[in-house]
Amino acid sequence: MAFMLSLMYFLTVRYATKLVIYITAFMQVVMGFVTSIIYFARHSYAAAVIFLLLTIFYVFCFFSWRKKIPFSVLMLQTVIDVSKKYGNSFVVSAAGGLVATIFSIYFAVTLVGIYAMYHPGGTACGKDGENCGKAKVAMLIIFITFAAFWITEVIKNIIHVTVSGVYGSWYFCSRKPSGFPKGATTGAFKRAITYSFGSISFGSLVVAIMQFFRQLCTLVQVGEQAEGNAVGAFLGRFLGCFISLLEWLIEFINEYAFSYMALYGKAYIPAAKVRLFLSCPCI
Amino acid sequence: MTHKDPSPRGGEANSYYHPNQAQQPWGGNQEQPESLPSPPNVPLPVNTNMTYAQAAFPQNAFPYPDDSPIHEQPPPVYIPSTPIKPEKSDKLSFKEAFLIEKPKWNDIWASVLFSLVSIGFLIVSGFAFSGYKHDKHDAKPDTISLNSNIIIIL
Repeated sequence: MAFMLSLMYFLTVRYATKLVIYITAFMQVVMGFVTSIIYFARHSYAAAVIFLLLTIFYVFCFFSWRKKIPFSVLMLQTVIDVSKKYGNSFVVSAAGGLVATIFSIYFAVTLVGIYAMYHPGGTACGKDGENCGKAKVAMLIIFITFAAFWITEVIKNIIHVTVSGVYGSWYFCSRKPSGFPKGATTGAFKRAITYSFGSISFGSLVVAIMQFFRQLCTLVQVGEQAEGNAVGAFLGRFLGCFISLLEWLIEFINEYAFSYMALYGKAYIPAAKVRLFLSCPCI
Repeated sequence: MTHKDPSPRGGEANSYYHPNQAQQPWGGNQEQPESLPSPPNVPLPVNTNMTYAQAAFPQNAFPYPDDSPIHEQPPPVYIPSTPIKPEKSDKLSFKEAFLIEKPKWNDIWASVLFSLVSIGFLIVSGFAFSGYKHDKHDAKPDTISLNSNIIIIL
């Protein structure tokens, strides 16, 4: 069912691109106003005012972006046409999504298993409670959580590098006499898991560290809130927001750095520098 | 702060970064362009009637005295490799299209560290999975177990 709905949405975006963009923007505004009205009705005035201001801001932004919609339509249609023409990108995305889903299940089972084994009274506990304890459970959960963040990022970025190779091949080679290179998807994938694997791991590690610290801040914030410590909760939330901004910035850099890596085989730092230079020529 | 030229060396993308090195436009034997919106054209020389040789070295660049019987005609003009109309060539592989002159394994330390962390994760998960094993006689109401039905539900 989800697959059919996704396919229908995909085809709708391709053949009625402008309409989809306008409908999406309209629905965004409507949902914002409806949410604000609901909060007003529930006497949650702070949330209502925030949603109202955000919706008005979005309306202002949409009117300033209207002139760029034809360009967005062209970009969307081109991207979809390339993916349809060189359908291996779908195969790569589907396979990668399946691997990521299986891994997430594997991680969940591992997490529960660790708790079942090592919490006081668990299956690994000895007669006097040795070989288990809350500290051991915490350490192991911290380790596998960090590992899960990193492994998930690496899987995602291998897919990204592979698909970037396909689109880069179309962009640079489709009008050349030699045409679209043969085996572009396989070639890009091979490069991603061999020469560029270290760079992908490096870029993914930076994001995983940010995600891990953001998760820690959330736990601190929830814990402080449960104990009634407002200052601690505020600091935890503030730090979490700051780390979220950093994470967004690093992912922004990584997105194009990995595409650059896919085509030219550069290491992570040089590719990230090129990405920063494209954004800020003053650097 | 000066920035090093980020353009790659070699490969199909070279003309994108160095438009002055773009070749002459193709002739009538060019393969028909695809229906997809085309990538942007690289800028071409304005006067395309002239070859690079004629633009760089005009005929009267090296005049000789009229009374010299030997040199009645100007010497042959140096003609660098003229751009030839490219013919349709065999398809390149991805490796050839985006050639890396000296391929190397980048950031090896990160791949080693990732491998170690992944192995550690597998070891911990192995211990965790062993915790799911229970004898039937030891089964308690609050015992967590793992079987095929639970995996399907997950």
